[in-house]
Amino acid sequence: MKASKLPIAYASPFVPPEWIAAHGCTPVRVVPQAARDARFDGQGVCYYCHSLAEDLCREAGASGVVLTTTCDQMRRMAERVALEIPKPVFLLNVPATWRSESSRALYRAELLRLGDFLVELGGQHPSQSELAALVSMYDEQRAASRSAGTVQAPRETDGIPLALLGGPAIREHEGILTCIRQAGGHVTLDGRTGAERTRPRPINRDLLQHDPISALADAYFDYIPDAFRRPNNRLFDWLDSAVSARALRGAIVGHYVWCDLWRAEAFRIKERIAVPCLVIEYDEAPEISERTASRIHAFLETLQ
Amino acid sequence: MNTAPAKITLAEWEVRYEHCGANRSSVPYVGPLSRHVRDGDARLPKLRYDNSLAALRLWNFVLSEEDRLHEARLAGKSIVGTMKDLGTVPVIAYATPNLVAFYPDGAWWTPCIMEDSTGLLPVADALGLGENFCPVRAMAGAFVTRAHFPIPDALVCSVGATCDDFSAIAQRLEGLGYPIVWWEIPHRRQPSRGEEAVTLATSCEAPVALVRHVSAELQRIREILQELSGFPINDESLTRSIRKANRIRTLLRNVRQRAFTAEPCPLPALEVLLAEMLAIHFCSDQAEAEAVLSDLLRTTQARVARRQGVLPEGAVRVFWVNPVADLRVMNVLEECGGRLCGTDFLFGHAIQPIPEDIPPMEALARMALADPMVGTSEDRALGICAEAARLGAEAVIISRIPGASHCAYEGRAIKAIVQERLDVPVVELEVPPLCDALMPALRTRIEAVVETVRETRKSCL
Repeated sequence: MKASKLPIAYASPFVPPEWIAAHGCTPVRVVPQAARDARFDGQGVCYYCHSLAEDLCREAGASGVVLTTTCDQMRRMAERVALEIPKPVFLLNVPATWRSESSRALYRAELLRLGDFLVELGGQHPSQSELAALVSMYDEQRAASRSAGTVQAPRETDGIPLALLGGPAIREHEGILTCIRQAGGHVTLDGRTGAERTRPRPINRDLLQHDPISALADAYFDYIPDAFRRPNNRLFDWLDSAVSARALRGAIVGHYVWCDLWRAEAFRIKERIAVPCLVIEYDEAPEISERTASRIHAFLETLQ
Repeated sequence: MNTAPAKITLAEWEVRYEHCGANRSSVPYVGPLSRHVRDGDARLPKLRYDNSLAALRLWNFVLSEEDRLHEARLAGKSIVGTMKDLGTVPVIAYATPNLVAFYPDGAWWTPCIMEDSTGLLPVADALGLGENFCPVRAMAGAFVTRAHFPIPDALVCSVGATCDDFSAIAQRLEGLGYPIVWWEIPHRRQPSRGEEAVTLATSCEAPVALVRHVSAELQRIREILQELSGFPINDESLTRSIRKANRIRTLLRNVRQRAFTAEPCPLPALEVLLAEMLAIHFCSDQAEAEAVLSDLLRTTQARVARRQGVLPEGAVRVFWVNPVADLRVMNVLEECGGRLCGTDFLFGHAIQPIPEDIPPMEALARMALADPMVGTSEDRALGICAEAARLGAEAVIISRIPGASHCAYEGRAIKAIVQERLDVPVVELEVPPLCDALMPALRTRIEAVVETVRETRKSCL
């Protein structure tokens, strides 16, 4: 397979980077910087989508952009971004339902369509063996990263073990992690979109040998729990097992102002989770507000 | 009695009811509107109504739906709550003799009609579905209080390229113990170069691959409903159901065409909105919906023939985008000097004819994909532009649905495209379920649109 220099920007965990790489392109996962300037009119737009759109408008390096239909704001943002940036935008249809064969087949067909898009940009269709080798390599890298990050029993000196849950983060949300640390907490479970919760499961090696695209669908589409999936019981199954495995003492769920999906789930998580839970609405600004910081500090104080 | 068409108050209807022969109506659900007020529909005294018997029948038909659903259950029929798809799954359900389909989504008007006296919204608040969500959250309240529609025997909900509000609220319902059969309606993308595609009823194109996917999803629903019913839902019964739906859609298109184009305006905006609602699930009685619309069409045709209307000639022609959460706003449009000349109440696909020359499941899949919500904002805006131009709109009003996450963005996107394409004023309004406190501001904005158009007319003379 020829190495290509075509960088392809993507943000959703439902876009398998190895699929992009298999077409000779370089997958570049975008974690956007907070929206700051007025280039992109963000009125009525969720702050994450707004930030992502601004980032894509600013970022001149990518040869193409892959967005997904995982929420109605993002679906509409793809349409808008396609008008604003001088590079091709591909909208990958990720079905919300996951129990029917037709939805799974749709996701698989969408991967093939994404492949055609990449080829049109200058990539190349991979052979089955090339694809299998690359998928296997990515899977091994993820396995290595999982075992390197295997969670040890929390030590008292680490702070109060917490879960941080919710939708995708912008770069400035690092400030929330800092705030949690300063308040005496320690995020031992990062369940935000793009972090631990949304990693694909290990590749089915038998399936990989004869149908690598189905193996990708199995690892990504069939497995990743998220708030937009219907039904979304897997999100709660994942949460239940993660909470009991990590000896968590509390959870923080963050959502953006316009995010109905995580706003609704935040309430359900609060009802269901066996530990105290704080819901924060992310600020529509780069910096974490005094109010949010105070809430996090007060929450951790109650857990001392 | 041959009374000139007019818009009248509820009190005036009470007097008229006794003298116009309505009290001798053989239609069992027709009665004075005041009985619905006694049942809690507190908004009714604040509305203005068309004074025809056909409109009275329409109002009674719509307002008696919950009774009809309870009666259906007592008669041994199974009730299917179809959610979100607006117009497709009911056609499958009505292919059997013992299923009745309705949209629990319709509860979004309950806080308006009952002036929030039922407490549905506070119940929704308590479920974590606060005012950041669209008023359809009232549906969750209705399931919890069980004081409105009967709890359906099966719930079917489309999800995917739908609004997240609805998806989140429906998921909350499932979390409360109401199992839902989910089916996927995918985003309607443009066909790729060289990809096999079909043109849909709303003139958009869709890839054949997506039609096949939706057809497979609907096939799953068909099998579930067949099992619930105990009667076969085969292509023959589906074809019959499609024909019935098409008769209703044809009647509705005829009513709309006259209501939107005749001068003077023969049917008020509020009754047009109500009539359009019949297209999506026939208000739980397919045969009666046809009779109600036939009656309304006859009345409208007679008025047009006599050049009679309910508004003064020359009312400003407004194309209205999105349904209003407060019905009163439809009256206000006319009080400000406007009239409806076209609508996009989010279910334009339910008004178009379902193809009868292709297999029925494919026909229904094509209709589901024609939903304006599942395509791009640009597709929807271009459809609005085409209709507004065809119907001679002088202004476009986009009413936002408060809390709907797509609306704040989509309204702006549609506005930008319509402004670019049509040389008419375009205004966005937000209409909550009860607008009384906002009414002066809403009225001012609508009046400003009407005045702008009148000034333009003068300058063209």
